[in-house]
Amino acid sequence: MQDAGVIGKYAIGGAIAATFYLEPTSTFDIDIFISFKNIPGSSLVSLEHIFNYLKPLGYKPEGAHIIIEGWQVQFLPADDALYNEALLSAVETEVGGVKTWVMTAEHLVAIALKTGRGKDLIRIEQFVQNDAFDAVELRKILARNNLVEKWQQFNDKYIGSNK
Amino acid sequence: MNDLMQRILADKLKTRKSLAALPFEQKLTILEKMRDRSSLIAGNVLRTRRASAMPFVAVSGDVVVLSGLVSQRLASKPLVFRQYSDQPNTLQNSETKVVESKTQSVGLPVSYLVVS
Repeated sequence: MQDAGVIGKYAIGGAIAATFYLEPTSTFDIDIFISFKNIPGSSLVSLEHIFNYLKPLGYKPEGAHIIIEGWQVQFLPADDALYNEALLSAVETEVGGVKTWVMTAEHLVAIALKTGRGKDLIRIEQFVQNDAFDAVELRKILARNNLVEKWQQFNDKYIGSNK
Repeated sequence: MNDLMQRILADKLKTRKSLAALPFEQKLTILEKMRDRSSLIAGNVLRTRRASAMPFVAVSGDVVVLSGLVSQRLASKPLVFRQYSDQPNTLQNSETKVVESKTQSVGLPVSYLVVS
């Protein structure tokens, strides 16, 4: 898709990206963060060009996802400062001979902290237990995105130390 | 926490770390298997009230005839289950396969399953 110019820079986030650093955790979907094209005169973003590219290839939309090779793929906008820097600093890797980008462990932790659902907090705890991120780098990201206090609260409540 | 529990937790963490250390491609293969298993479990008829109430009993070698909605679901996605009459909600470690699926004149499909 990138080679065809359908999407630009992208980064895999969510549970699949976390699996890059942690043990595999069951998930049904792949979250792909991209810079969306805004619809002129609107604050909405459009997936149309992505759907138009994928439909003729036999990949069908299903709710908010597109089913690609058995995976529910969701294209999400990197629409704020944190997601945007996560997108730009994604790590390059290779899967099946194809180059791809995965968000850094520190950005995944920061995003999970910001999102704050139960499963996000569990994921952060997994990162902490596996010592799978650079604490100094994470602190810089948290500071840039006003998440230091939230991190402190998380540590106080769930970790009991100041990582 | 007693010693045994501490050892169990330490072993668990060790296993998690060894899984985390696997190459990404290998982890994706595991994820695909986990996804397929989760789909299978989520789609199992035993998870629905209708199915768990169904008087379905089968043992190895049985051919079972199912009809209606249950058959429709089984025919589209063959499931892995065997259910004993005294364990109506317990998924057994067994396999079934659809050997034939046909539509009755009233429009409801019928499936024949072989339990192995």
